[in-house]
Amino acid sequence: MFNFGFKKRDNLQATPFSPFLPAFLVFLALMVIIGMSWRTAKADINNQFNNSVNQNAVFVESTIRQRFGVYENSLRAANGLFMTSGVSTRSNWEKFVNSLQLSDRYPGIQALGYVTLVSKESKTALEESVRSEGIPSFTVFPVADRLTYAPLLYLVSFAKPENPERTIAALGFDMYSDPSRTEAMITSAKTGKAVLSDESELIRLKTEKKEKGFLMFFPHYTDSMPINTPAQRQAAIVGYIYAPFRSNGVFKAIFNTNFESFAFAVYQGEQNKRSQLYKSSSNYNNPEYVEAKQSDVMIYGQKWNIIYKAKSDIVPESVRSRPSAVFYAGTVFSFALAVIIYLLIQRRTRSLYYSEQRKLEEAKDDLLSLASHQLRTPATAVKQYVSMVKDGFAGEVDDEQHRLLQMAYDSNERQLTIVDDLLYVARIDAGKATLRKEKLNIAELIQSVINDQLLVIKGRKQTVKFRKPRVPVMTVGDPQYLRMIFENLLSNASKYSFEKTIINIILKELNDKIFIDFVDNGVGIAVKDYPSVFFKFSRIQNELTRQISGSGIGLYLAKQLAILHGGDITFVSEPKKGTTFTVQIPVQKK
Amino acid sequence: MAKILIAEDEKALNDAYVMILKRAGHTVKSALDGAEALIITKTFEPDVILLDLRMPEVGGIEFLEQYKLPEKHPKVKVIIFSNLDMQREIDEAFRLGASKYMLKSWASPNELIKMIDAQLQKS
Repeated sequence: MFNFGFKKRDNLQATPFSPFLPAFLVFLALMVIIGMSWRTAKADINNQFNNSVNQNAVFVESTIRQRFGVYENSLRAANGLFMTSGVSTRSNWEKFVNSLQLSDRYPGIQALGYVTLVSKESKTALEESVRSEGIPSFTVFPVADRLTYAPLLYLVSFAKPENPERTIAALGFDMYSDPSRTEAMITSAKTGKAVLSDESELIRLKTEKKEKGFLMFFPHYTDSMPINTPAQRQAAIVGYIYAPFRSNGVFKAIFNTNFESFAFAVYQGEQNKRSQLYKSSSNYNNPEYVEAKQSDVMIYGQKWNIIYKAKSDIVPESVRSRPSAVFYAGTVFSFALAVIIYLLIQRRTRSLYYSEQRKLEEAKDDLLSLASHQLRTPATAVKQYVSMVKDGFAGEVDDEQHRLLQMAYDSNERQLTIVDDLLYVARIDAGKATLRKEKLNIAELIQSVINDQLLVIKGRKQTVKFRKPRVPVMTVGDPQYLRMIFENLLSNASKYSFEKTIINIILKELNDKIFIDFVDNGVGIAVKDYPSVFFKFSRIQNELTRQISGSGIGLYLAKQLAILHGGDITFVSEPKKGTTFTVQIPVQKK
Repeated sequence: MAKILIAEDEKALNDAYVMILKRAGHTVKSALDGAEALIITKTFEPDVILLDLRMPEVGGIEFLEQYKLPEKHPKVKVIIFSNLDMQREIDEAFRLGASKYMLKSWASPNELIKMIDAQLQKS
């Protein structure tokens, strides 16, 4: 098929550059940044978690040290009392201890007492002396055979002061009967410092529940001996000031505050056989609380191991929610941005693509126009000069000369028509044919076409009959193109008809459609030729073809122009009887 | 009869149109391009200009731009007479004041004379 080397617009399949990849890369890059921000936010949570735990741990540790420092000072103060006034009397001791107001100011301490050291020989004398003070039940207990005893001599108990029997019952208890007390006392004597014992059982009435606790001892030496070396100190030791603490009670009293989202436990002893002295709350065993830190606290000869646990919400909600906020908001933002970029690029490339397309189309059209210009110009000169000679510009022409010149003229006209037709075909095929619409009276247009061709038709001794409605048939269309359709159909009807026949043109308007029949009594079209009637450059062979000039473009062009107007051209035919071509175009108001 | 200026670069056509229009009784001057036509218009105010579009150096559009038809020569009729049917240029010529477009190859000598008479009657 002849198509001038140009594709139809519909066939231009090249697609614009896809914006998916750049948009996706932007999305990916943003997601990497968001991933990094997410990690930072996550790390922030950990940092804040550790910071909070550390702050609490420092508080716990320093509070423990401070409080036991106060207890130590109380023991030192008692020692000071003994240093200045000798080992005092029971009533002095009670006055002194009560003046300290320890249980009110530093709760947690159970009692303050004095343990004296007595040899096996002096034990009975001590017992008698104390009994004579008005404590008839006093005895060093539990009974044991030892060189030295360490009975409890003075005691002021802060727990249950309303029950003085408890205190009296405790007097005489031999501290050496308990290995952990003994060990602490010996260490204290050697070092001259306050020492805490391992956890042990506290002295209780037999009717009372057993209770665990630990004790702080401070050594009291005799004035008369030097205490510079451990050995000298051991020799000079005469007794101990001591204070007992209930394991659970002392810490509870120290830490009367509630920790939020934080818990800790104090352990005594080595890892494998340690015992828990205290836990700050039942939250310590809550699985939501995770171990965050542990520290060893060396305190008065004891190594306490403190384990700190915390719940995630020790970090403020605003910080904890940041990673997911960063992630979700970031993802939504990235996606939105990617979509925007996608759309922007798509719009940009599309508009570029279509402007390229438009330029290409224009270039093609310009080329077509220029090519036809070049083809027309020489033929136009021939047309002018042949006309001039024919019209007597160069002197008289006789009939024969005129006939020959006319043949030259007609042949040249055909060439010009072919150029025009080729240009139209190329434009239609390239989708470049545009309609220049205006309001038209179809009957007038057809009449004018008839008038133009009347001379030729009369030359064939044919008659044209035009039937039309009384009311004008008006529509909107391109007058030049519609004229070409009618010219072609009328000229075909005449060319393919024999002499002395009638050509009927019937114009009708029906249901907003205009129908124009071109009915001839000509050679007709054979059924086998039906398919090629509207083909480009197809010329159907019949008994008249050889006498008729034509390019084979006319019907193709006419049909395409009718389609361009939203209509069509169809035909019915009977060989040797004639053909009816029907143009159908919609009535258009605009 | 009327005064006519022909601007046509194709020598053969230029000659033909001069002969045809002189024989029809008009006063005819002709130029082989737009520049020459502009020079002629300085001393010659035509009734009708037969203007080709494609001419070397100064084409039909450039001629119209410089001639300033509506402003300076409102009575002159310009017929775009070209074998180039490039719609863009035709539209431009009408915008610049041309009153008719005719494809050269469509006009026989008689049709040319008729078309000029029709334009003259309009004024």
